[in-house]
Order: sequence, then structure tokens, then C-alpha cells
Amino acid sequence: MHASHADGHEGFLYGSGDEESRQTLQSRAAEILSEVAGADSVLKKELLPEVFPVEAAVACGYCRLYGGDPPEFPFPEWLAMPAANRLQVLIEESSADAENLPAAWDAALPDEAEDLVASLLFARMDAWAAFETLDAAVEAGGDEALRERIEICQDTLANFDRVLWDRLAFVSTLAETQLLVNWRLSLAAPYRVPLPWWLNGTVEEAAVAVDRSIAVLKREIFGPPRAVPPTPTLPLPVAGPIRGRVQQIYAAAADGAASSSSLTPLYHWRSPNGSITARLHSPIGGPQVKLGTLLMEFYASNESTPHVLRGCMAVLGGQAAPIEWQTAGGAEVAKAEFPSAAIFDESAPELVVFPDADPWKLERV
Amino acid sequence: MGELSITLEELAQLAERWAAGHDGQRGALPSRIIDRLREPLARAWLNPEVVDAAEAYTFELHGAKIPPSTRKRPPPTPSRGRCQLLLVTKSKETLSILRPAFVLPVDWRPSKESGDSSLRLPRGLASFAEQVLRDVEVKGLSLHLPKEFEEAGVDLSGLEFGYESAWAALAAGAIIFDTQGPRSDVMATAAWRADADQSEKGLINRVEGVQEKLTAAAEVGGKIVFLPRENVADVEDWKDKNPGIGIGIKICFLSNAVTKPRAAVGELLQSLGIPPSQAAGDPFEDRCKYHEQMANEEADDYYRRELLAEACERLRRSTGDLNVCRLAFIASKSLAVPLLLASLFNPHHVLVLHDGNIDKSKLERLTDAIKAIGRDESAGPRGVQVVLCDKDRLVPDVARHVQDFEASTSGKLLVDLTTGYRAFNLALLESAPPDALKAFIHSPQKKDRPGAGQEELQFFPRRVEAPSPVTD
Repeated sequence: MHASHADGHEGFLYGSGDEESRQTLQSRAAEILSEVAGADSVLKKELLPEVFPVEAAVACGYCRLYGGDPPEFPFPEWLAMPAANRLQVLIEESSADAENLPAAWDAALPDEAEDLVASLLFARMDAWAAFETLDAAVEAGGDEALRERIEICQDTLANFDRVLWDRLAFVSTLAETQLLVNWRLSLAAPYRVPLPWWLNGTVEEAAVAVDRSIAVLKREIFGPPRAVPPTPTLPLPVAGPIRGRVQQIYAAAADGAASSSSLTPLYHWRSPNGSITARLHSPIGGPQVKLGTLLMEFYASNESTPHVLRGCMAVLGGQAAPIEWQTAGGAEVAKAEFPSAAIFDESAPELVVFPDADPWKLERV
Repeated sequence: MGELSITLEELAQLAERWAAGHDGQRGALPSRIIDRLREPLARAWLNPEVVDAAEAYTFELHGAKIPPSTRKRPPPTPSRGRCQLLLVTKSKETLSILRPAFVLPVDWRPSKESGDSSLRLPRGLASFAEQVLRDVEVKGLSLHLPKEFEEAGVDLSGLEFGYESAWAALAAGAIIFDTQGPRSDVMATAAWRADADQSEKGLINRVEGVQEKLTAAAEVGGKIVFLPRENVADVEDWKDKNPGIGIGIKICFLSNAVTKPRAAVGELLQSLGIPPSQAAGDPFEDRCKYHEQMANEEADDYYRRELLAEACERLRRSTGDLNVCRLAFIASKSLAVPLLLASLFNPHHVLVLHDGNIDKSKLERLTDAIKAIGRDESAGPRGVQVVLCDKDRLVPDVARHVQDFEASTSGKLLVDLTTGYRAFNLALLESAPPDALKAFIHSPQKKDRPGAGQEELQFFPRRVEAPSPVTD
């Protein structure tokens, strides 16, 4: 149902979230709306292709999600009801597709399987965009009938989410594609906080969990991997004392006691290709400590900002956090904020950055 | 050189990038610099601007309010075997991020084999440490970075400093290794030059970078800094240039006289809480000087342990053999005079008079000490009578006790009039038999006790020396 596919586009239309993409979106929305406006008699309106109103709503919604101005806002009320009606049908169809996903997955070739899952998330994105438009139409004075229709639609959408959630293991195969990254990058600031569940790291966390389950399963079936003599290296940081350090700072903060701030990171990781370093900061001491959160910073070996991580999702100890951009020290910094539970596992925490999904190397530097 | 060691070239590169940055536009660079040096070393060695910038960056990243700058360097922490080395930054290219001098703590640790020192020490320091151990004749130690430095991953093996000036601090640290928790606010920078003619002796030699080192010591809260006497002019210059900093710091000079290594750092050891000792070969004069500064409670023990034998020997040379068999004196707070006399004359019987004002435990300590001092086991215990005199009837009471003592013992009696107050002394003088020697120890008084090493035995009234026989 997603707009890009409806238009015959292959791949991802709204990838970069830049000005050019926003203009494309606006043109697309304007084009649909002008076609709709061309059918100016009541009779002709009734004969409008069913897909036009919802496509217009989706296109206008994307304009808002990606930081552009819809060509017509608020959405015309007379188009909103047919759009909602059609949206209801499309969501129901997507729910059915999601229900049927395991069987379809088994029947599909590997490349097609990924498309099957992707089309479901495209549908979810489209629904989000359409609701942005329709909700705005209701708020701008839509009638009671439209409000009721949209509420019904939202119940259907909730069901779609439940089914997708049940299929999370399948959805998680998209974590290693550029799709989620592009969506995150495209979103305008008001829509980034909070991110919707399929963009907030849930999918990446599921991918890590699935990988772990597969590893466990492999061990059960094939036994432990053959021991490889370890390469002599410097001792890695031990998890226990590091957790202790964090707990000590939190405890001091909870007691209102002042504790000095450490500039020594808790852990360092190196990206698989060695070009980027991640640094998990000690919580800053004293009354300003953010209880329960830990900050990770990413930097390239040459001290430049690692732009390649824009929109990526970091998963530390099974906890996901989007990599965000901030200015500090007069320069752009890439960072992610994790719940402290990320390091409270028994062993030293594993860091994976999606979509690459290869584990980063824990090290002293 | 370790895999993670920082090198001079790397420091110079970091300094160059730091210098190229503009105010507030350096991003994460200060944090990177701290990561590279590791926090404990970074806080000691980096210019405060870099540490401030790193802290500001970290707080900004956390979305927190930037705390006020704490420019002061962390004070050194005392620890067993710890030495505070004052090191000068060699390369001028690094000075935009590094301080001109800094305090590097290093630890002596017990070691089974020589050459066991840490590989993370700056290049050459481990072998220099071995040399210092040989100089001061201490075995079974090796030199390391402090635990907190090691745990943080500090690795200085890629750097080189001038170590000659670390001699005094390392030597003192090795000598006092067995002492728990030496003072961390006493520092030293002084080199050692072995005397070409006398293999076991040498002298304290001048060092470079004294002014930078004094500033570094002052910044970490150093209270006393020992320097070679030859660097006096540098100190004067530093004081002129830094009138504010120099106030809180006491500067002492190590003698440049030719001596043994242990004696060369004697005063430094004293400041670190290690008294000079006969066993370590410290001169009698140094021990006397130390005794002068001691609190009364500890002074008697020190006098007895470290000074008595030599003080007694000196006195014996001037008094000759007086054949004293009995000694009478008034108990006082200080044990020094009774011990000296008992040791000098080795009397068989001692009468101790007191008026009840002296603490009972002190009296017991005095009695025990007098019983044992200089007494050969084969001669049996010395008889000590302790008697209480009535303050209101001093003269008759003292007379009675002295008569009783006279009656119960025999041999030449020496009545000591050094201690006690005037009335008590007069009573004792009055009561002394005519044939008794009446004497007192004369010396410049220091803190209510005779100055050790300057004691003279004088008689009352003065003994008239027999004229020398005329030979011609």
C-alpha cells in the first residue's frame, strides 16, 4: 500500500530526508491532489479511483513526517472519509499478510522473503503517515462520523501492530538493511522523539536476541565451538568492577552525596573495520547524575565525526539506543544513550551497531 | 615499549592539534588526549586547560551544567613504598598540552629478584632504580607505577625523562620501605655523584629544572621540598618570581658534603618520619639535632636507644673513673640525666626521691630503666629504692631517707642535683654526707631536658683540681 510502491518506484523513495526528497514528496502529493481536484463534480468524485484519497493522505502525511509542508493542509474533509475507509481496508489486508507471513516466508525465495517483511513495514509507515494527515483533519474540525471512522481504523492498526509484534523475529531480518536507518534519518525532529516501535531499536534488539537463540541452538546441536588458542592481548576490562563503579556513582547521587566525575570511560570498543571507536562514559558524578542511563560516544580514528553512523541503531548488552547527533565542544558528536541495565549482565557487554550487525571489538583503547 | 605506550611523537602531534584548535572548537580532542595518557597521569601532567576542556566536553555531552574549573592538581596519596618523583617535561613541542614539570608517583614493591621492575615505567627508570638500590644497599625491591596507574592502563615505556634528579626520592623511599604510610607532602629532587676516590661515598649533586619542579610540587600541595645545596640560587630566583606560591612550601637543602648515600638523605628521611639511627650510620650530631626537636614523651626512648651510649662515652672521657657505687637523685619527667649517670657510673645502689608529683607509671618506668641500664647480668640487679618525701617537711624527710640509704648501703655516693626544684635540691644538698660527691649535669637546656651530646658533669662546690706536679 505504500506510496512509493504504488507509484511504481523500486527501492526506497524517501531515503535521505534531504531537501530534494522533501520536494519530491510535495510534488507527488500535489500531483495526486490536483488529479483529485480535477474531478470537480460530485458525480465524478464518487467515481474517483478508490486509491486516490488514501494516496493523497499518505503523501501529505509523509510531507509532515519528513519535515516538509503538505501542498494542502489541513486535508480536505471531503477526501478524508474515503481515505479513512480505504485505509481501513488496506490495514486489514496488511494484517492478513502479516498473519500469513511464516507460510509466505517459507514459500518465498531468500530475496523475496526480505521484500515480504519490508512491505509490511512500508505498510506500517504508510499508515503512520496517513494517520498524521487524517488526525490533523479531525482536529481542524472534521465531523463526528470521520472521528468515529478514524477510531475504528486505529483499532485495526493496533491489531496490525500486535500481529507484527508476534512476527518480530521475521521483522528483525530488516535490522541488517538500510531501510530502518533511512527512515530514522528522514524523520523530522518532532517525530524522532519518541520513535515509533519499529524504529526505536525494538527490531534491532530482536535481531540480537534471535542471533543469540541461534547460537544457543547451534551449541545444543553441534556442541561448543572448537577451542581456539587465545591471542595474547592485554587484559580486557572486567565487568564486575565497572558495574561497581557505576553503582557507586548512582548510590552517591541517590544519597545526595557529591562524587567526583571520572573522565575514564567504562569501556572502549572498536568497529569491525577498525575505523570507529565507541566509548561508554562513566556517569558524571554529583547531583547532575542521570540515574539509570549511560552515554556512549562514537568517534572516527582521525577525530572526524563518524557520519556513516547517522540513523544507525546501537545495541549494547541487548539494549538498543539510536545513534544521535549533538554539538559538544563546538563540534558535532555522535552519541547513544543506554539504560544502565545494558552493562549489568554477568559478562562484559557486547556492542552491535545496525545495520552492519557485526559485533564491535571490546578493547582497552 | 608496550603496545599502548604513549610516545613523544604522539604527544607532539596531540599538542599540535590542540594548538591548532580554537577556543571551544576542539570537540572531543581533550577527551582523546586524556584517554591516551589515561586519567591519573593526565590529571598530573596535562595543562589544566586540557583537563578543564575535557570535563566541560563531558558535561556538555551529558547535557549537564559545566562545573567550575578545578585547576588544582590532585594531591599525591601516601602509600607504602611510594616515592614522588619531580620530573621535567623534556620536549618543548609538547608544552601546549603538558605542564613543564609534574609529580609522578612510583612505588617500591617487594621483589624476589632484581630487575623485576615494571615494564610500564618510563624508559631507563627501571635500570636507574636498580642503581639507586645498590647505592643505598637495599635489596628485595623493584619499582612500579602505582596500582591505580596500572589499573588505568598508564604506560610510559615509550617516554624518557632525566632520572638523575630522582635519586634522592628513590633512595629515601627504598630506605624507609618498611615504614607504613610515609608523608606524601615531602618531596625531593637531587642527584647523586659517586666519589671517584671513595667507592662507598659520594655527594649530592645539582639538578636541572628546579623552578618548574618547585611550582609542580607547590601545586599538588607539597609542604617540604628537598633540593641540592648547589641549587640555592635557583630557589631564590623562583621565590622572587613566585612570591605567592612560595609561601606554603618549606625548602630544605641536602648537604653537598662527601658522605655515604644513606647519610646524604638523612634529613629527608627525618622529614619522612624516619629518625636518624646509629645502626644506619647517621652521625651522632644528626641524632642529637633530631632529639632536640622531639616531643618529651618520645625523646627519652630515643635518647636511651640512640644517644646514651655515645653521650656516656664522651662524658667518661672527661670525668675519668670516680669509683661511684651509689647514686641519689630526684625523680623528674625526663629520664635522660638519671639514665646517663646510671650508665656512666654503673652504681650498685640507687636512691630515687620524689614528692608525689610525678606520675606513678612514669616512676615505675624510671625505676625499671635505672635497674637495667648498663647493668651486667652477672652483677645481678641494681638495688633501687624509691622514696616519697613530704613536700611540707622536705629537709628532715630527705635527710631521713638519705641517712637510711647511707646506713643500708655502702660505697662512694654521688648526689645528683640536676633535676628537681630548688627547695628539693637544697634539701638533698643539705642531707648529703660530707664525703659524697655532689654533682649536676650541665648543658644548654632544650625543652626542659639537657641538650643531648653537650652534657658536662660539674661538681658542687667545684672540685679543685690538684695542681700538676712541677717537673723542673
